[in-house]
Amino acid sequence: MNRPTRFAFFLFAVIGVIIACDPKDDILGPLSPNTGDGLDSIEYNPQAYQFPQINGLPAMQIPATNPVTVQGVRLGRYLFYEKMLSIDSSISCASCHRQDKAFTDGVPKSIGVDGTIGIRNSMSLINIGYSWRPNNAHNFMWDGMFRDLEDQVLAPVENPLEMKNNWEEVERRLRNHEHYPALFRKAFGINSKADITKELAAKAISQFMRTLNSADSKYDSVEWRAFNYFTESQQRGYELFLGDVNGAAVTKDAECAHCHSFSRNFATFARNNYTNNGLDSAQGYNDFIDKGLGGVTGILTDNGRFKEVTLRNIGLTAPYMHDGRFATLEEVLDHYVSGGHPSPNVGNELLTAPTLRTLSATDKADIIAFLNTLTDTSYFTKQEWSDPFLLPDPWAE
Amino acid sequence: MKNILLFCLALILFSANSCKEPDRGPKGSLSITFKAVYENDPLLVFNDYLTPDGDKLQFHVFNFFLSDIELIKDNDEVVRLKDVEYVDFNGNTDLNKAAAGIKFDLSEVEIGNYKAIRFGIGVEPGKNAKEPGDFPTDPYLGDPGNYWSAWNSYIFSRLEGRIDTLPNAAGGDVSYLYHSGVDGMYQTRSFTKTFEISSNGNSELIFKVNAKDIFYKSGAEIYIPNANVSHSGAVGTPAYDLARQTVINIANAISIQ
Repeated sequence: MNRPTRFAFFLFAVIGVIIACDPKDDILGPLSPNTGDGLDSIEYNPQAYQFPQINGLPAMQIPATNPVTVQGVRLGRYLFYEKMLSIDSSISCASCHRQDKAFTDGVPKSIGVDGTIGIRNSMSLINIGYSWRPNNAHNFMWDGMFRDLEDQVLAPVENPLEMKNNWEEVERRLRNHEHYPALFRKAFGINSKADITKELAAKAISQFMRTLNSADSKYDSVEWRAFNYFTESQQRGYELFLGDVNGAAVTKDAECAHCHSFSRNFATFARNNYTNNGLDSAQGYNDFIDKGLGGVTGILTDNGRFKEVTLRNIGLTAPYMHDGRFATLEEVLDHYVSGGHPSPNVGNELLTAPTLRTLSATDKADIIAFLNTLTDTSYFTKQEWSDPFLLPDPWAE
Repeated sequence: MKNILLFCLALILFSANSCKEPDRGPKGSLSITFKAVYENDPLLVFNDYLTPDGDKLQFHVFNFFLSDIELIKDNDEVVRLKDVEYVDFNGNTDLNKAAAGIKFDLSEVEIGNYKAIRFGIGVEPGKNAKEPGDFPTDPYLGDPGNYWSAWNSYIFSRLEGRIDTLPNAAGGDVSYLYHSGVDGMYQTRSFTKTFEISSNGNSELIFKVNAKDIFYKSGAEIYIPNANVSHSGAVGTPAYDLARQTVINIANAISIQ
C-alpha cells in the first residue's frame, strides 16, 4: 500500500470513529439539487450556539429536530425584527415583543395590522425556551395552543388579528430578498432559494427566541453573590411570597409560590401549568367567555384555565393577565386578596389559602417590593437581541 | 504498514463497541398500570362521589411520585426498573381515560420468575436532597412545579378537591389541599405477586388506588372539613402530621390486582 492510500485508509477509519459516536444525526444538509441560483457557492458550516451559563437556569431542553446554531440564531434575529412578515410590512414579531419590556408590548391586548386589537395580552419571551416540556402537549400561549415553539411562531403571520399575511407570500418575499437566501443557506444549507420554507423560518426564529435567557436581577444577586441582601421590605415580601420559609409555619402566607414555583437552580418562577385563578364568575363550565385551555383541549374542566406565567421581569410586563385587565401589580394583588370570582374549577391553591385574604396594604407593598427584585434590566442594551435594522449597516457580518 | 492497518482495525472495532449499550442478557417487556378508583368506579376528576357520611366529594388534583421501582426475583435477586416515575390522575377527565389508567411500558426487563415488586411513594432522600436544576432532562424531577422551595423538597403527593357537607343546601362547600413533602414522609410499599417475564411475552402488573380509602379507611380517617389544608410544614406540627397521614394513606390505598 503506498503512502497516499495508507493515509486515505487512516482518514477513513478516523471518520468512521467520528460518525459512529456522533449522536448528531439531524444536521440539515442540502435539501435539493442545485438549481443554479448560486447559493451552493456560499459556505455552509453551522456552528453550535454556545449558551452562556446563567446561575439559576439549568441547561435548556431543545428539540433534537432544531439544534441551535450561530447561523440559525442570526437568521432568526433578522426574521424576528422583519416587518415583511406582515401583509403591509408594518409590523414584526418585535412590535408586540419589545426588548425594553421583557419582550412584551405594554398594552392590554396586542395591536395587529391596521390597528386591529387582538384577543389576548402579549406574553413575555424572556426564558421562553424553558416553557418547553417534551412530554407536555400544551406548552405555549395563554391557552396552551402549541406544544412546540416552532409551531407557535408560525401562527401570528396568518392570524387576521395580527400580521394578516400568508406564508406563501412571506416565502416569496424571502426568496426574492437580496440577503435572506444567503442567510438561510448559512443556517440550513439550502441549495436553492426555492428551499426557503416557513418551517425553516420558524426554526430560525425559535432558535433566536431560545437565546433570550436572562437571570440577572436583584433576586439573583441576593441568591448567588456575596454581600447582596434584600431590603427589609423585599425580604418580608419574599417570605410572604414563599410561605412556610424553611419549613416553619408562618402567620401569613400569600401562597404565590404554588403556581410561581422555583428552586435555586431552576428559578423561572413559573410552574407552566394552566389554572383558573378566579378572574371571572361562571356558574357552569360553559359560562366562561374565554375558555382558555378548554378551547384547545375540548375538556370542559379545562375551561377558564390559562397559563401560569413567569414572574421574571413582572415589573416590566404590565398590564397583567391573559386579557391585560389589570394595569398594575397592586391591582393583581387586590384581585387575589379579594378571593376572586366563583366558578366550578377555581384553583384550590386560591380557595384553601387561609391568610391570603388578610394581607394588609403593607403586606401587599412588601410582596410587590419582592416581585420587583425579579426585574432584570441588564439586557436592555444587549446588542445581539436588538433590532438589526436599526444598525447603520444592518446586513454586515 | 501492518501496524497502521491493525491500529485502524482496532479503532473501528473500538468505536463500534463503545457506542453500544452493554448487553446484560435476554430482556422482556413489562407494563405497570395504575388505576384510580373510588370503590369500584374509575375515578374521574371533578366528579361527585358519595362519602360514607353522605357528603359529596370531588377530586381535582391527585398525583404522586414513585421512587426506586424494583422487582424481586424468586432467588431474591433485586432488579431495578426505574429510579423515578410520576403517577398523575389529573387526566382522568373521562371514563375511558380513567379506566385505562396511567401505564408505564418497560421493554428492557431481565427475563425470569419474579415474586414481588416494591417502590416508594414520594422522592427518596438522596434525590430529594437535590433540586430541579440538577435533573434538567427529567420531566418530573426537572420540573420546578414539583418542588417547594420553602421545604427544600419535592412535593411527594398532591390531593386537591372539594367536599360538600350539605349536598341539599348551600354553605357546605369546603375546598381541600394536601401537599406532602420532606424526607420523613417518604413511604415504601412491597407487593407480593408471582409472575414471569419472558423474552417473547408482555407481562403486566396492575395497581388500583382506591381514593375512598385515602380519607375513609377505618382507623386512618381524615375528616376534610376539620382540617382542609396542609403544605406539610415543620416536624411536630399538626400540618406536618396531616400531610404525612395523606401520603401514608395514599400508599396504603394502593393494591395489586
